[in-house]
Amino acid sequence: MTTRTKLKREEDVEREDGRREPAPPPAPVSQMLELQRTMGNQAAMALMARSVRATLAREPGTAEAPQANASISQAIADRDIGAIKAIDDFTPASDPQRLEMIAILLDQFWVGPRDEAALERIWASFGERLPAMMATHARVWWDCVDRGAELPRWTRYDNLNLTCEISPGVINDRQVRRAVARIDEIPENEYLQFRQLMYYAGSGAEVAFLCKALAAERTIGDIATFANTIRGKDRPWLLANLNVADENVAQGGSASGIQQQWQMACGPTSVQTIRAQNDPIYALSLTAAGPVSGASWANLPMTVEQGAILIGHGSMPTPIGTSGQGAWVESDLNAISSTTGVTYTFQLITAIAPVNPAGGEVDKAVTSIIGFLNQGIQVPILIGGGPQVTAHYVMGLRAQGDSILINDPGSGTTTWVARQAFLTNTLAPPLSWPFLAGYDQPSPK
Amino acid sequence: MIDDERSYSDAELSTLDLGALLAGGITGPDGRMRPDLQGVGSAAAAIQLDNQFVTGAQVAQVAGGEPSGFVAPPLDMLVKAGHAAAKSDAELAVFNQWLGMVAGQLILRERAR
Repeated sequence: MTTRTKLKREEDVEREDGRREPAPPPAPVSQMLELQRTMGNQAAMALMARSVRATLAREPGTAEAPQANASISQAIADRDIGAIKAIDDFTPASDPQRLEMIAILLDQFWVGPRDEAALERIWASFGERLPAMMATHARVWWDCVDRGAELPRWTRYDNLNLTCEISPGVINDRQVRRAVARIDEIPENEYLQFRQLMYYAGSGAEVAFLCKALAAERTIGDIATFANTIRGKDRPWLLANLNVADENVAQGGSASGIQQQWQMACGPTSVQTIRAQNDPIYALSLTAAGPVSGASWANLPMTVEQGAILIGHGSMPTPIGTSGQGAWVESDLNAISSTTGVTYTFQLITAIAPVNPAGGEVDKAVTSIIGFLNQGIQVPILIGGGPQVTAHYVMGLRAQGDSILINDPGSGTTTWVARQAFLTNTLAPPLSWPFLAGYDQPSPK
Repeated sequence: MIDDERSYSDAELSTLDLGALLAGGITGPDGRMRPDLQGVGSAAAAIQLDNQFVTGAQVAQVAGGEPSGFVAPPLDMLVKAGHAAAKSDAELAVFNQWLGMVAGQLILRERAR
């Protein structure tokens, strides 16, 4: 049996003989993300475009193309497998010619390593159109993989397109990495269905939300229904309906976000927040049921779920303004770790009145929280009326410099809070209580 | 532009722009289905849908006006293109007839596999 190792060895020999171009360096997600972070979207796109231009330069119609295309045409007309395998560069071929050559290569009893290598070169020659061709010619792609061709499920063009969509409220870089990892884990048929959903999405933002749902370990069936629901919706609609808290609040501004519907339901609301900000299908289920802000029980499913979480901890839900008993929700947060990709452990923080020193416990906790937020991991934060008083959960959504964007489920307000407010125990207002009392420390799975 | 005088390979049909073909209209001046849509177009649609794992039964359901639940995106897009191209109820009926032809070819492809 011929092995992949043998193929690699043959390719190495060809490279040594100068017959084959060196393999292009891979562009993993992490590199693309780093590039995007350091250089910005435009620079990342420009870098990718260089390879696209190189491809376009060899498209049919250029001076060198007719001769190459003639030999390709002849190889197809003769159904000459040896001649097809001898072609190093398939970019002068038209799409039908490429597909003809794939069909000829597959139409053999035995597809050997050199056939597989040729198939891989043909698919690579689609260039930036590769993701689209993978979707619209899924059966052909499947056949090639089934016959041994090592075709990547996720291309650098997918990387480029998705990383360009990274923005608050859409998808973060951690969710991108989780989605890409899941792409390689799911069965072939599910992958092909997902590829199709990506292709038929109406915008890059739609694709990003599909990937976010995949990262949240939603089933392909769920994602397909979701894709149908959001297809063609504009970006403002997507941001408003697939989040329960606005992550695009400007520094100094505020917005209405998800609000607790029961007196002591800050914990359950934080569970809903963290799940919704990671799983757009769940977020849509909440926003489609009614307003998530306001405390008027206008959103029955959201209200019932908050109450159910309280009851699960032995606390009876009571209307706002009455007395009640809260709940520690770390177990609920950990129960949705497949969605978030993290588990949480409560860390009690002892604040010092009137002011916490630089480098003290509160300062270090804020640094830690900002660190997790900068990794794309939301952090539940406990605040209270004095040192070690754990009265109220609020949700840290993201960080910018020394400030944290927080949704307070008590008021339903999403706003920025600076480190200085933590140090001086002046979180309220805008939050419900002035002191930092603890936070749930995330541990990535 | 489709050349009725020559035969097309599966590879060529798999890359035919069906959206553009449908945008050219469903029927000709005589009110009957356009020949290029009926011939090359229906074969191309069957190949393209087959490439995307859409079955003949799914297309037949849509052609009969009774899709059950989720419509596969490639089929959904094709139907939307057809509905956009149809200028009257009569053309819509012809388009559904065309979808029926596509379904028939898909079933043949499935049985020949």
